[in-house]
Amino acid sequence: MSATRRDLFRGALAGGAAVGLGLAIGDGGALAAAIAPLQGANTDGQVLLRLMEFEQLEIFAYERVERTAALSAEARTTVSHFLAQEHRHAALLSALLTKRGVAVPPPPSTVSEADAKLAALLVARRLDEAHDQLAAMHLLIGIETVAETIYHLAIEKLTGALPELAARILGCEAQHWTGLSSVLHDGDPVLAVPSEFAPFATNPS
Amino acid sequence: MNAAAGLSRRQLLGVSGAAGAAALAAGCGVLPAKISTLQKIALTVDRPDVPILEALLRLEYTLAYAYTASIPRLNGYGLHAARWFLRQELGHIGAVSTLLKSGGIKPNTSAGSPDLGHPGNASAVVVLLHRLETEATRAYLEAVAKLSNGQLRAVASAILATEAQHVSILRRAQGLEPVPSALLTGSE
Repeated sequence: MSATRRDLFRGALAGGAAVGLGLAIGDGGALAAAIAPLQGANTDGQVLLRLMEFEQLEIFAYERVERTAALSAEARTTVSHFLAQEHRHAALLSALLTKRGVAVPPPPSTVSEADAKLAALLVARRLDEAHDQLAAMHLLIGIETVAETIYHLAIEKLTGALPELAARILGCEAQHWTGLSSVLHDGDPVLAVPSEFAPFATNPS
Repeated sequence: MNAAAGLSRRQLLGVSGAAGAAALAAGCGVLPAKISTLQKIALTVDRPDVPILEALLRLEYTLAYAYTASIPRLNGYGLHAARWFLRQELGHIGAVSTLLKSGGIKPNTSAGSPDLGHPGNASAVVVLLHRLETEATRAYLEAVAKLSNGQLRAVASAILATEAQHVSILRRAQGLEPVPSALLTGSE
């Protein structure tokens, strides 16, 4: 990725998602320096390992929200459905890692550990604060924003058949973003698909 | 698709291609307020990438054409979504055209006359748009598998993800599960 395009992607992510929820970011350069989710991951195995670590964080967050947040029936159904799909992503990645002889990393074991990882990814919300539906949805939207970013970067780095697999997961993660926003905004298409390019994800509300 | 709301499809798309779609979009108040950032990007496009990108551009024109022709037939939620998604498809046309220019290729600027069938009511129009968006996601998935370098794959995937989101909203508009699969299949 050229520096210009990388800056554009991350700058957009920073400038947009910082509005109201998602990511607490000063500027695109700060995000690029701080998040760097695939920095140092050069082989397929290394990239897949980073994706797996992130999927485990997503699963931990979805499970925590499902278990502890006060959600409407629609929100609870959505969270449960998306959680099942995140498990599917993790299972696929786990199989790919095992095939390459790479050990599957342990998932986060505590809320504070997960929150530290979310902070490192510049997700503004924290699990230990996601008690009501609004906070929980905002947290999950912030996480899905990072998911889009990580898979997008992975598609550029992976080789062989793996970019297509990553693109299939990216498409699902982007749909999760839309689904979570739809819960908050009754499916408003402008808020649910805020940009013509994802991960240019923003939520203007 | 039949003429509606006082304007025929031919009138709507009297100037074929992006210019026509953009002109109509401007009239509808949905023209993008700014040039897409992706339109400023210069990437390496190798010769084998050209037919792939040209096919994607044709698809994007078809989508813009279909949304433009659909707007007079829709109302409520479907109309709201179509107006917004047309704007985004125009952004995709700009991005893919720019990639082709990077490869020294003059991009096609015509939507041609895609056969959209004859949807009889607003619901049928939404079904049509859903089908076209699904075809677009499938085409972008295939493109990601075939494009020659990671940079191009990344751009294609950024558009793919948005088309997948369009599919979700159009499924929602029909009362279908918005995210039916953990892996995007291109047949949702």
